[in-house]
Amino acid sequence: MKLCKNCVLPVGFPHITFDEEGVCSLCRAYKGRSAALGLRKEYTKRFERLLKESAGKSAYDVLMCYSGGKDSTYTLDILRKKYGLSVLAFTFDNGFIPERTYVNIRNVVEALGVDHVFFKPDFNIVKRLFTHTLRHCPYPAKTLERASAVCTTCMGLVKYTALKTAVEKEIPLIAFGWSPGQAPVTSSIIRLGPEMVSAMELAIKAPMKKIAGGPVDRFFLEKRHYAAAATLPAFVHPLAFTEYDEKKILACIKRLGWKLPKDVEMNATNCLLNPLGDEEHIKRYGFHPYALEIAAFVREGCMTRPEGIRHLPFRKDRRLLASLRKRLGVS
Amino acid sequence: MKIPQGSIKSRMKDFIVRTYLGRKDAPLGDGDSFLGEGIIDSIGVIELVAFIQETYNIKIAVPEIIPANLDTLDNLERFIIRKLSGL
Repeated sequence: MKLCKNCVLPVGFPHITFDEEGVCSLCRAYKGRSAALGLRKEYTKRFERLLKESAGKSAYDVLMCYSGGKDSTYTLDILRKKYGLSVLAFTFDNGFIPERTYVNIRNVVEALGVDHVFFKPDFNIVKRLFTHTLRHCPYPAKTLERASAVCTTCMGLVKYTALKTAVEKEIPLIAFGWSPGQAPVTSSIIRLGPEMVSAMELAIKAPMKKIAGGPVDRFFLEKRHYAAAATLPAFVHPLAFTEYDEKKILACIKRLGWKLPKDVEMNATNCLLNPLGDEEHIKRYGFHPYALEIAAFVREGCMTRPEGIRHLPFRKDRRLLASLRKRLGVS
Repeated sequence: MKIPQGSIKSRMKDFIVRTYLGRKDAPLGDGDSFLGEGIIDSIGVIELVAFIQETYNIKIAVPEIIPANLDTLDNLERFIIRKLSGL
């Protein structure tokens, strides 16, 4: 597979062109690391202003979508130690959390002194959603550039169950551990009104309802949630405006009692289902669902190109993939 | 600021098609819903807002980020003209 000579984006990646020197259009359009640093500083200030506006208005300053993976653990550490926020950590248990991750979550929330809740939906419902979205993508085509359809399903459920919880508890902010490569810094603080959120929710909820029926409704907001909230919580992903160095992150979270679980990839250290989603995605679309993220890491200088190339190959563990298919009941 | 008739819509269409649909000849009707048709998601909305602010040097407030202003090419054109007119 041919890759961009500058980052690691593969030839054939949607919407991307390559010039005669083999450099992709994202690298050509990239304004340089100093511009990126300027944006990070600007968004840090915006985030700090948002914290000032919302501080002390609720028992919790922020609800952290805490998967137990390395990035959300590091984000939780930043929210507690750097910003001193009162955090409610929220874990959506999709049925594929490694055993070690439960230990990691307990160690980390205890070390950082935060309250924590698990939300474990009926596995029969999520199983139907995952099984379907392993083979079909009912979401906007653009989402396939950032994640596999099965990951988008899970993220949609995380996002709206977290939003529902935050509205019910009147928490003004919801934080995610998205890395700088997963979403641009310019989208790192998202404040939207009820009308827009409701329209976006429907774009995720409607296809899910077609797949799994009415029970899906309970994972989403009801009219009363929109009516009760004068303003909906803002979504933030602080790693987009924070220095991202995987080695430093791993060293930091190790001190909190976090250890890398077995059978997971470095791209998703919290989920056993990920390799199956990756395999299906590569088979169907011809590129790794983490290619865009890793390419951005290389462009931004968060990792070297050889390191990026090492992150990309799909490690085909037949025993693991077979056990995942068995749990989902797919051939 | 004098904007030629139709130029806002064609500029917005170019951005949406180039960024989210990938092909220049991809069909996109003036009344097609970006959210309803699954063309953009939440990150896409923020990118779209940033693009409009930068392109037309206007400030868009949170209460203005609503489907009635941003969800179709027709809505975008009306909204941007209104903003440029200072209404």
